[in-house]
Amino acid sequence: MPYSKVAKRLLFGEASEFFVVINHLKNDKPALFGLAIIILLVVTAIFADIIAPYDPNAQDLSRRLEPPSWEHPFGRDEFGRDILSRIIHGSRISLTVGAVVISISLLIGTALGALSGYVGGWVDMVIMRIADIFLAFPGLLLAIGLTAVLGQSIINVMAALALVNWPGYARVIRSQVLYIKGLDYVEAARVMGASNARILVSHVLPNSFAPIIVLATIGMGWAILAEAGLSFLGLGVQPPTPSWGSIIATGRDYIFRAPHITTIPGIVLALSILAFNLFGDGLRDALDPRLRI
Amino acid sequence: MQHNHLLEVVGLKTYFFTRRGLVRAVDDVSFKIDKGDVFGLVGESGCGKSVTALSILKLVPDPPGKIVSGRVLFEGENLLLKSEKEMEDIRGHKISMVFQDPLTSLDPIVRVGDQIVEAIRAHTDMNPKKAWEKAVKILSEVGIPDAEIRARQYPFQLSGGMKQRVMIAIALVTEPHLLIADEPTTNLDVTIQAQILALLRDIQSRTGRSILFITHNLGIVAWLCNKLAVMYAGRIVEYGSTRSIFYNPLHPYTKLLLKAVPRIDASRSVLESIEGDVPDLMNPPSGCRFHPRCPFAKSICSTIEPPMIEAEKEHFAACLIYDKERWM
Repeated sequence: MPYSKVAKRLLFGEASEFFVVINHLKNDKPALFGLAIIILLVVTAIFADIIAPYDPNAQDLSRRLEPPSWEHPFGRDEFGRDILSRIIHGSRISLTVGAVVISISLLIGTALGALSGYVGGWVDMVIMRIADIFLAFPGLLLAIGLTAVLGQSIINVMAALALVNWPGYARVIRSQVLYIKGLDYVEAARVMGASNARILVSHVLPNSFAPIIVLATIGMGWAILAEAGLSFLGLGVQPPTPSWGSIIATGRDYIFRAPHITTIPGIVLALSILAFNLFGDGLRDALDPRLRI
Repeated sequence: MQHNHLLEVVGLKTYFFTRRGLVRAVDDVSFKIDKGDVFGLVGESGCGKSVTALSILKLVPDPPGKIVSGRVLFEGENLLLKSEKEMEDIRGHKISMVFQDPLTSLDPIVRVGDQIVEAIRAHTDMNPKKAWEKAVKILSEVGIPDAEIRARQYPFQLSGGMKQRVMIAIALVTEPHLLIADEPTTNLDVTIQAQILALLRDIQSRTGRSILFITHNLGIVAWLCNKLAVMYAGRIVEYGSTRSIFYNPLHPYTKLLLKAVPRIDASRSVLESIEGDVPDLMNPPSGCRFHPRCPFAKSICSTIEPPMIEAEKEHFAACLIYDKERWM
């Protein structure tokens, strides 16, 4: 095959958008690493019962705070429970909280932010002042108040976290939309006879999304940590149900005598957040045709 | 009402209500475009050419802009009385527009073929497959080689000239009755400019489509247009056939403008210029807006706003010189 043909097929082959994105991700090693860890986490969460070597709630007070060993690779906690098993089971809560909180925040933030930036005027004014109120409120305090009113459950924790998290997304989307709606290609679409809804959905929003993907992957880590904080305060999951946050939080009391209780789940948490970040970065690059070549 | 004109702009006034004051960007502009005309709207930067074009499509940014009065009759109907919904159907369907800057006028993350498909499907029910075929066809019609491959590419993979061809393809694919070209070659280098202009002229002669061509380049106008209006500070100062204006300019501004065009075949070495500055549209000179720079100005020029005077057949100028009673 002549060189030009090969080049053409490589560069512009008759591939669908989806295939092109996957193809690009395939060559992005950090993103693949991130994706591998995310898949591992999801599989772990789904099959926690099968994978976990011990019952996460089985106590053995005679062997409390035992450091890592071959039998218990991550050691035992203050009640002598197997930390590995607790981390495996905890991934369920942590991942669910992260995914749900980010999805809700994204949904509300994108919708309100886009509306705010695109429509402008008093709509913008009202939405942004509401966002300011939520931003000005200490997040944790709001969450505490909310769970106090709504009662204590993991669903209320997720609702509270989403409520304090969406204004950030709304602001970023708004500023992006403000910038993009002034660009020539939006004006060109209007001249072509496109309606406002069409311009917003097919030109402005897709072009606004790059920073949001990055923000969302960082937000994932924030949500997992925030759930930990609330659980620590007794507002999230209740003992003995494990979550990464609660394991770290309770381990704090023993940080000098048994540092493995806090450090190991901490490393797991950091690694997960890193994975989401790497994957988010890769996804952003793959979705932007300008960065694909 | 006359229906033989494709587009008739009557007494159009578009003002911008800014914080610093009122800007009369387009002040009482009237002209007519017939079927098959290539109408040139010429003037310096900031004289209101583009605002005139945007006013025709009702796309003046509001606020701060507002069309204060006038009529825009397109095929006998006043566009200024149309609702936004009705305008959406006219834009890109009956009247299309090509912009100054092809480099930024395409959505960077949508394949160019899909952008043409979008234009087609905004105004017809054609199925996506057929629309795609039509998009590829029009791309090759505007002179893009390997249209099939190019249609699948993103704007950044195309050169500036090719992007402008795509813009023209988008504008023409719906077979509009009027094409507005707002300085379509400004950001392209000269050889590409020539290609794009040749393309426009070729399309025009093949399809007989009417074009409103906005430019500051008199050379382009002479080559492309059959009718011409010269704008100065928000007003039309001279209006007629290209031939009569170039051979016999009536308005002092046009005269000076034509003198200021550098000629490659002329022996004169000094580049002529027009004394003074373009007036501030927030605070335009009284009377004739050109009088502070006009070498023929008399005292009445600063008090009387000159009307359009038909000094020759079908050739109008807004200058009191042609008002025999007042100019004594």
